[in-house]
Amino acid sequence: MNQAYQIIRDSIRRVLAQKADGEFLVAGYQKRGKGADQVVSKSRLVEVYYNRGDFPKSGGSQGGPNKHNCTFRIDMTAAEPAKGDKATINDPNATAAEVAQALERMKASDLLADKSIDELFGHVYRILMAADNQDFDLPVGFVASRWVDQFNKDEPIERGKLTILTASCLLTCSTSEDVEGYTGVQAGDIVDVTVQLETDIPGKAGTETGA
Amino acid sequence: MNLRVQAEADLFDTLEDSDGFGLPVELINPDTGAIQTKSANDPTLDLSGQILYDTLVVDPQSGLEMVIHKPVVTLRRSSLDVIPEAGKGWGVRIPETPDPTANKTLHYVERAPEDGKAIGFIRLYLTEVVQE
Repeated sequence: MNQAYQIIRDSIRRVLAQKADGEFLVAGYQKRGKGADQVVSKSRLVEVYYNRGDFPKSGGSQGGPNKHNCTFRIDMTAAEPAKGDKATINDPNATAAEVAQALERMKASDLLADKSIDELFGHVYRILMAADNQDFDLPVGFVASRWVDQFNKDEPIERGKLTILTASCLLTCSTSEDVEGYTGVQAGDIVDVTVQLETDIPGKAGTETGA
Repeated sequence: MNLRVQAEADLFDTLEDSDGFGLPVELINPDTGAIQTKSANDPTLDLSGQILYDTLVVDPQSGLEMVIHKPVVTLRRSSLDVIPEAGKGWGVRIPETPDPTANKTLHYVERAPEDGKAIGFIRLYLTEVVQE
C-alpha cells in the first residue's frame, strides 16, 4: 500500500493534468533531459515529484500515525523559437519601412521562452493554490496547509533555433503517515529442483556391461 | 604594403571568395529596412561571408559537448554599409545549406555580435525565425 505522500504526489499530478486545459503537459519525474522540440509552445512540460520530508518527533507517536511535512518539487520546461513577420521581411514587394517595422516587432527566442515559463508558472500556481484544490481531490483532512513556497528560474539554454528554459517551484503540505509495519513478501509455491536419482550412487557411476 | 592592410585585404580570400568559403549573405538593417546584398568594397560582387552552420556547445545538464544547429556568420567589416551593433535586432538571410544557390532563410541576430574591429571582421550569431 502506498504511503500518504505517494498518494498526494499522484493526486497533484492528476489535478494539474485535469486542469491544464491544453496549456501544458504533466509527467512524473524524468531524469533524462528533454529535447527542446518536445516542449515547444503548449507542449511545455510540468513534472511533479516528491523532494523531501520532515517527520517532527513531536507530531507522532511510537506506533503512529506520524505527522509528515512533505515538500514536492515541480519542474517546468518550455522552449520557444524567435518569432516574427517573416512573410513581410521576405516579401520582395515590401517597402523598406514595412521591413523595418516587421524587424522591430521581431521577438527573440529567449524573451519568448521567458514569457512562456512565467505564464506556465502562473497556470501551475493558480491550480495548486486555488481554493477548490486545497485537498487535491483527496478526502478532506488527508492533506493540510498546502503552500507554494518558492519559485526559481534557471539560465536559458540555446538549442538550435529554440531557446529552452527550465524553472521549478516547491510545494509544501502536511499529512499523516500510518505505520503499518513491514508486511513482508508472501512466498509462492516452493518447487524443489534437487535432482534425486535413486540409482545414482556418487562415485560409482559408470557403464554397466552385461555379464 | 603594411601588414595590417595586407591582412585586411586577405579577408576577401578567407571569407568572401566564392571559389573558397564565401557564401552569399543578405543583411537587413532594423533602423531603415534597407537590405544589403552587394559588397561595399566591390558593388559588382554579392555580399559574402563565411558561414558555420553548426556550433559546438557544452550541455549544462550532462557536461558533454554537443553539436547544435546555430549558424555563425563572419563578415568582412569593410564590405558592410553599416556595422551591426549589439542590442539591435538585425535580420540576416543565408543559404539553407552550404550551397550558394540554395534558398535563403531568414535569421535574427539575438546575441551581441563579436566585433573583431582590429582584425577587420565581425561575427554574427544567428537564430532562425519562425513565422508568427
